[in-house]
Amino acid sequence: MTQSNDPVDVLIIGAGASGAAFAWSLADANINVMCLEQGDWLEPAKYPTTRIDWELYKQGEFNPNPNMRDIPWDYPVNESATPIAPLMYNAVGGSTIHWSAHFPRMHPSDFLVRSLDGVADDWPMTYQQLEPYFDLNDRMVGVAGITGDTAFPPKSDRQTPPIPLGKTGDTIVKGFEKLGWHWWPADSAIITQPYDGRAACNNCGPCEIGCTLRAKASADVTYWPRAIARGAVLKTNARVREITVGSDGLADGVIYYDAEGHVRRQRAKVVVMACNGIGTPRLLLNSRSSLFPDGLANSSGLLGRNLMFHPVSMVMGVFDERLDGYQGPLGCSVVSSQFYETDLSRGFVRGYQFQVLRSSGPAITAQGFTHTAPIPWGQGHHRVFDERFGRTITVSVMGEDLPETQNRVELDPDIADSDGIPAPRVIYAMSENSLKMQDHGIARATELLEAAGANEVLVNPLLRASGWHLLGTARMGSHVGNSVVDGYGRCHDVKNLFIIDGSVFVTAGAVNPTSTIQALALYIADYFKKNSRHLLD
Amino acid sequence: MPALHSFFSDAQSELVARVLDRIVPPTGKMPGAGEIAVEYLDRFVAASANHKRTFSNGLSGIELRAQRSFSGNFASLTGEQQDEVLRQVEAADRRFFDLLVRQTYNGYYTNPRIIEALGLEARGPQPRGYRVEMGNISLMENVQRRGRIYRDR
Repeated sequence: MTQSNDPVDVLIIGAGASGAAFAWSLADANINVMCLEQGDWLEPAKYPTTRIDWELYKQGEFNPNPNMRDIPWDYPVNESATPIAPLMYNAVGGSTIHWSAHFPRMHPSDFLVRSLDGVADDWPMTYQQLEPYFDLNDRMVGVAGITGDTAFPPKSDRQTPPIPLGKTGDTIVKGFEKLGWHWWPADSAIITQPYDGRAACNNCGPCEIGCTLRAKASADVTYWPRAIARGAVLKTNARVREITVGSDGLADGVIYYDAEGHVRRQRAKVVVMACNGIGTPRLLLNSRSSLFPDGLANSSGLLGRNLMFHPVSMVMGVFDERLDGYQGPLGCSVVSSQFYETDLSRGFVRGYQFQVLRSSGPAITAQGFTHTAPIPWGQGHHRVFDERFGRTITVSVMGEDLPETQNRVELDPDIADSDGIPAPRVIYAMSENSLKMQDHGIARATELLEAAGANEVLVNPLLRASGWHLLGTARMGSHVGNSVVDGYGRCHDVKNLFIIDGSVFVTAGAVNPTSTIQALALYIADYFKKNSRHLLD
Repeated sequence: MPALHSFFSDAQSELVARVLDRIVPPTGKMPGAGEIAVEYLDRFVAASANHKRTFSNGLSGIELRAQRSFSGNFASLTGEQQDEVLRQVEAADRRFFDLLVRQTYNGYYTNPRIIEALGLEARGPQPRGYRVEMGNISLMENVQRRGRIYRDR
């Protein structure tokens, strides 16, 4: 084992959305920061967006499911006991590499679910307390959008104008207006004008195979260059196996495999987990010792529990006119918070978001975009293809699933990654509340598409490949009886171990979480900087 | 020696071409998948030992059912009989048939000839991107008139 004798001040595991923001913030304060990432840098110029067969890459090396990619630095996930497949990407930038960059904030009520609705728990902070960090993060990533959304308190100016709505947006807005429902142009982490040295989006469409122009704010093009310029060290192809503890019960570093598969050790004064809601509990559960026989920071027994995903139903409307939805960022046009807040007369608590999606190219259209209604083979094939291609709008119904301890991440006894580190196994079922919510959402989305003029509506009631949001598995709270970390991501059991990714979410809200994950990482980083003398002592 | 990226025998290639023409048939303006996607499918299958096994068995299954149901090889059957055989295979060997259809669509709809026949430009999304209209965002004023909908206390 190669030993590094010099401990770094802060060692971050994972170079995705949260780790990048945290590294950038801390490196500003003369803190010696190192990050270990199991993936590598990707080169935007080499993304397959210039290829005529780009749709094949969405199913291959950019498939969001690591089990389908066959890339050596991924780890497998046992997804046999969940109806929702966990999705993630391992590289500098993490899952922001393949993300659609839809960038909503959590709403004020999401932080107050116990007080307002009597379920789960309130967060240790409010929307107002996080707001300066949302704003700072927006400036760092560059957000396209427009202020005035009535589903939020007034927001600071967006950095660039919104992503164009196109015919898709114009058509669905007719439906919203006919029904008098809330809608708004989506906040997107994609710049529509040059910003911060990056080029503007040219509406090429498939954000999910990487953004060649760097218009999409993946963490490798936003935070990392600046963090490195400030002195942060980023080591790639460095796959952490476990976090080690000293006889005093404090974390003292990690053991990792380098690119050649050699075991190495890195010592640190503080260790920070930023590996997402599955990767973080996996590594902590794999860090067992006589002091921590059930995994590190798990005296609560809650590590890996309360996994939340956001169940997604896809409702696709077919229209007579050409909408050309393969042009323009797939995931960003219009959102609706009409059914976001609790109304118990609907038969469920909490709510859901509508995210209006454009469509895909011909190959994925034929297979059934979002796995909704593949085009039949045989004599009728061309007729149905012509009816659908470029003529659909899909409304994604994304609901809030509440934390439940039986939904969880464990270590798999049989499956491991290529270095022998046990794979995570995910056990998850939708609650009665979530099922009622999705049914309600499917009915309302159908009504919306019909109001917009759809002549046919097709439904995928639960998209299996929808586990983009990995939340809740090391939740924040006041003490060890109800949580793994405190309100600043600090583990109750191990005072120099922090968790800053989506694992710490108390509840999930019903919005895409990256904006909140990054704001929270910046909020924790500020706390860290204010207390660094004490924390690094 | 067949090239490394090739797996189908001549007989299999011929069978695949006929099968593909039933999956995506030729019409007036569009060629059938048998003319477009056989090479793609061959490369796809050749890349994986798993797929080679699945396709060897699957293609044999097609001929077997053709013989059993209509006492002839697949090529000698009428179009309706061929579809009937494929429906039997679809019901009996879902994994093979789904893969066959999905990869046929992939090979067919990423082919420049087909993309042009659909009236699209035969190019990747970059570097040119697309021009998309902003749309009628002034209707946002209606949303604002309907008032605030968030709760914070």
